[in-house]
Amino acid sequence: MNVSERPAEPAIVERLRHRFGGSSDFIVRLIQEGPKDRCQYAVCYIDGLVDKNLLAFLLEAVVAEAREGAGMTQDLARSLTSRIPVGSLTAPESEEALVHAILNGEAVIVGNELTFELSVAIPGGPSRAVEEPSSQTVVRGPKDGFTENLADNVSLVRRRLRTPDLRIENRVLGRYTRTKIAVFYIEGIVQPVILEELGRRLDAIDIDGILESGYIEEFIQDTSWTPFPTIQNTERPDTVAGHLLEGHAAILVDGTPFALILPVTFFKFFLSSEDYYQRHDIASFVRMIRFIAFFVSLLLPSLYIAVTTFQQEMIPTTMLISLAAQREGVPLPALLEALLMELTFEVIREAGIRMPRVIGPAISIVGALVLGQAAVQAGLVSGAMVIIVSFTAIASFVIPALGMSAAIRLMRFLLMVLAGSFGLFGVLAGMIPLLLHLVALRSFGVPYLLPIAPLKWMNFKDLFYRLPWRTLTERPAVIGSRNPRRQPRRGPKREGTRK
Amino acid sequence: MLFISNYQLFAITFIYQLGTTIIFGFGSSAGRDAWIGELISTGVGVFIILIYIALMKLNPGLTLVQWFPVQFGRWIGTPISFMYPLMFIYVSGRIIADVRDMVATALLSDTPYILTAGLFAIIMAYCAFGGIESVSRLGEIFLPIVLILFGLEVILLFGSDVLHIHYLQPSFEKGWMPIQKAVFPAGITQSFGETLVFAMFWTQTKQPEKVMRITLLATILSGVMITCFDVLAIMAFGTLFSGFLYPLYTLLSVISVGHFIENLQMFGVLYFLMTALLKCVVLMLAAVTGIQQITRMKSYRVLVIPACAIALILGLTMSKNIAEHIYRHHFEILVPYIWVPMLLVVPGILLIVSLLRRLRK
Repeated sequence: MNVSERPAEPAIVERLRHRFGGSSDFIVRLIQEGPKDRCQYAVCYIDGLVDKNLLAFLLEAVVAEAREGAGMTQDLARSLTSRIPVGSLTAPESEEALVHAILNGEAVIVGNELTFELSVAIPGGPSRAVEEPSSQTVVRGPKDGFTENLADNVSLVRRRLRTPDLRIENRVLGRYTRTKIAVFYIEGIVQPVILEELGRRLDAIDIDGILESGYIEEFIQDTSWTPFPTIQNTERPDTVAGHLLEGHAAILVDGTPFALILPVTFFKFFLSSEDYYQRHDIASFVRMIRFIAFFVSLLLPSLYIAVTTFQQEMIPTTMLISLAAQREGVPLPALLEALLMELTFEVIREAGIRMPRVIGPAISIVGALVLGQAAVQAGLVSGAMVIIVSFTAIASFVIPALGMSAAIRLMRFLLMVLAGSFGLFGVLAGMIPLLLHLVALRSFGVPYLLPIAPLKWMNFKDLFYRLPWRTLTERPAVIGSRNPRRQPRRGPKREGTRK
Repeated sequence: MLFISNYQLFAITFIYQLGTTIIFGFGSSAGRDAWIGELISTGVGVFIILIYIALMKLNPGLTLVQWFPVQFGRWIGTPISFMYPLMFIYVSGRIIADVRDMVATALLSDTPYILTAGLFAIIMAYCAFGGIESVSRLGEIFLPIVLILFGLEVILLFGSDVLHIHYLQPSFEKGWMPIQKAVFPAGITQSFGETLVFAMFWTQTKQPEKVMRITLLATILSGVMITCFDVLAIMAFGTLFSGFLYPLYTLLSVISVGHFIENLQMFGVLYFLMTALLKCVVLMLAAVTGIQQITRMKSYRVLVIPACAIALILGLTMSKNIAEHIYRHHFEILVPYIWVPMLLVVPGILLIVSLLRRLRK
């Protein structure tokens, strides 16, 4: 077909071309069959947002309709719709809606003799396969993690909660990115107050772009003036499902594998979904290890500084002598020594994340040998300090939530400075305001230190330890109190065990 | 509206009453009969607290500073009620001075007073900004820590083999007089009379009808706990006990289990600082909310920093050393001229007036 013969496009196509400004990925496919100018369709879509296979089916149907259906029936639209084998069909009302439909991965069919435009949803494009989550791994438990594709993520959650009470509410946020987000909750378990508050906070967001759930987290959290996360994020669909069952709500954002869970309390950050899959006694032990690791990672360096600098009399004599011998040639005071080592560790850590994977072994050799052993041999730091710093660092990785361990790291530096200036009194002077801060924090109106302050004995069943599932008959108080019963309460013994 | 749950009220009342008494021990002037004095004081203290609670019930929904204008009339009542916030600030200044000396003696001998006391005052101001709801939750967290540490201390003391039960004998060596002197007026005003400060917060409890039971329970338990400390100290030191400034701190230093668990007095200091801080914050909050209610200000928060600054200056300047602080200011000025009139006489008169008014109606 040469240019002069090119038939006139439907007017709407012209306008769409103009709207997209001639972008190379905006494709208009003209279909002209039958008697000249008798029947003409145009299919508009964005290459890369639609599924190629489905598009082929769609085009085939439109071509067939143009070839055979022309003039056969009066109702063109009906005969066309009946031929289209794929996707959900809509008829966008306005041009704006048409543009958004195209941008959402729909193909729009316009025809000279159609009285309206038909939009077929055939979203596609590149996406990653479901893989094991990289930030939260488990030994026992499901290995699938969220991907960047919202539709896949929704299905991962839905597959775990096959109930009509699982509600998914979609929204579009971001003036330019038009990011799809989905709010998940289970009707009848979640507290309506929380949903209302969440809706209000989401409505207030008006920004040009949302690229990750972190944006939303910052917009909807109760306060920005705290290092502690008041909204949890997870890559694991089973974690989301577990929290939904306890009365939390979740937000999934298109384009990121990190889902948000809210409201959330301090202690939630120390739980892993694996705790619920393992035997309860093992899981409880591991949990206690995590809480000990929390205190170690927060307090160990500052206690060491305080005791060695100000309160040496607290150290048993033999230990004191060996510590003093180690520190003999060290030029720096304990505080500076600890800060130096901690900062070095932070640098190595950050390098480990940012560097290209290939250079990894080089960094670990430099880190372990040069900064560890050689620094001790050179007399720059004492061996005890290396042990303290490395144990602290390892302990901070035991905490399952990255956001929480980051907050603890920050607080650690503060406490170290206080310990270096005021000794144990400084540690106390840091801990009390920290506690008060935690106590005053709220996540969607739920007190952050929930089962401890205010005290809820019931929630202790699943806190520092996890009792067997048989005894967890109620959902945790406050967040899950709308529908407290999780399973019927049984007698102390299983039927049949009594002889 | 802020609310304090029953358990929170129990926790803050209990820790408040331990407050600084736990640092200085109780009634060391009574020698080895101090623990008897403490038990008697607890008994009388319960009675005094019953008076305060009766006042609360006679003036429903009103706080301490609102009682006086209502019962005595505006012109007499307002000046009297203004005295209470001032007294609270003064007492929190005294606690800052206690902490100043305690920290200097036990933890940081070379650090200037202004730094340690200043840091303490800053923490206090921060907590006071948080408000009574946060502070009561803080108390809720402190309570198990305090109880667990107490339990550990008792176990370790028995494990160290330093307690001698015969040191408690003979009782009533010098008759009733030393005990009576320790009990009245110092013993009953200290911590038990001071509980009057909670009249500022009783209106904010979730179940005001349970205030009486909870406060009395907390009072009896804190009395028993201080008695236990006294008994332990006497069992460890005998009559030497009277000579110590910080008997309970010294008590911790004798712990020695297997030559490894030793020198625990540092933890003891931290423990005392926690209770002292909570007491100080409660007093400060009562003072600023009191002034706010009398002057009908919108928020008490603007008052926090000036009040804490005044308390800090008072704490730094009121006494030159611990001996002057305790033996002169506490026993010769504070107790007879401030606490007795304000914690015993004025509430007594108020009770009579309130009852008479009630009868007239």
